[in-house]
Amino acid sequence: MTVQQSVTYWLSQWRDGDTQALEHVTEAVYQELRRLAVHYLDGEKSGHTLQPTDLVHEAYLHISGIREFDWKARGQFVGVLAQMMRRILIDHARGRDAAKRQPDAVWEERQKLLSAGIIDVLVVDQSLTRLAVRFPRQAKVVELRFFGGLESAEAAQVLEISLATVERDWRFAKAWLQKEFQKPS
Amino acid sequence: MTGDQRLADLFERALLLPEPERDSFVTGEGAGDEALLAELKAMLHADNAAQSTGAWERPGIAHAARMAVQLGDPAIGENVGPYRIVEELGRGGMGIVYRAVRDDSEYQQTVAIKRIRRGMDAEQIIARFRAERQILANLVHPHIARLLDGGTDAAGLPFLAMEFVAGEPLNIYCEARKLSLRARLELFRGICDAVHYAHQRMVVHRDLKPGNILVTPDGIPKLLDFGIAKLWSTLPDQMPPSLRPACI
Repeated sequence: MTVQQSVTYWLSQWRDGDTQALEHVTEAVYQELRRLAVHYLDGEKSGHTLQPTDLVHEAYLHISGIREFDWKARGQFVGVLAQMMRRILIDHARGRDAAKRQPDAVWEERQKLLSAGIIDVLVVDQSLTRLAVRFPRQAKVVELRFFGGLESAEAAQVLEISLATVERDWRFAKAWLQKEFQKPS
Repeated sequence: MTGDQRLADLFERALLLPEPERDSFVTGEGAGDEALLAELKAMLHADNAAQSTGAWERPGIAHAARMAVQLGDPAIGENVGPYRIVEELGRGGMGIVYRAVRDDSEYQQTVAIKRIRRGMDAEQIIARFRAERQILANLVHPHIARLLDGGTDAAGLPFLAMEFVAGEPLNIYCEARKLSLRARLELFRGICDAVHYAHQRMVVHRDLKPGNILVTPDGIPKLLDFGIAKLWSTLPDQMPPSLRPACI
């Protein structure tokens, strides 16, 4: 069986109630998503071709081979993809900082980047972990929207809450995280 | 209601009020709970920043990618002539464009610096780069990003300093503002004017596309990147297929 076929198989098992099935697909899915993400991150340097927001959709299509994004049935799976994307980006960013070897210089540059509209995913990750302790649902919205690249309506379907709640949570979480950025870490 | 629930509740209710009334609202509601009050105020303050920056609308991977490019490029912070490079704006086949500032005793100015990509410094490419500089020097038009300066960097390679256009690509500008047909045609007319002007000076852009036309916040279109432009007079008599009317 190809990766795609096995993932399709396990996904259908999972849909039919086999909760263990999700674990079987995780590793294959992670590798595929990572491949797509690294392709995008490298591609950016030479004029990229992918739309970053499409990555999770793209990965889903690639992996499951299912063209229709059936949100209700796939909610949990897409949630897992967003979580994976978070891990991939954090690993990538950590590698970048390690290669740089000058933590002070990196910090200084990071502040400059923030003023240029670039948010450091490492800082979001750390703050988000703290947010999740007190506001788990709001933190989940950030994970789906920011790391997963989903629209609010999609996030609402994944979390099975109303669009209005997602929008409220998103605004709340953005303000909370933005406040954290202003603190020295 | 727990403290955290109260925080979320008050934040939400404060946002329903006009901005000047929020502070007294939360001060009244949060009286007696200093920690809650401090957090709430910091959040309302941060909300302004979070709402006004477009940064949160871009997914994390776009930030990670831009950051990797910026942190990985030793050119950031480098001095090129009187300019200091601040960030990368984009790159094409042979050149990279940076945002740079001139910040000396003379004056302060933000410019776009175009340099040759490392490893692309073959003689032919340098010659083409110099040709672009000459072409641009001859074009002064309100809808064409102006050449301001040029010179050679520390490595002896030519660079261009151009007018920095803080704008959005034409298609994104139109879509984001849901421009009317009339407004779109107004923009189009300005662009045609610039193209016509260049043609009269025997310059063909050869790569006109939305990404090479930025629209400033005041709605002024600016034509960029004459990187593969040609002087008509240097073209062969017989017009090649790439120069039939579709290619402007």
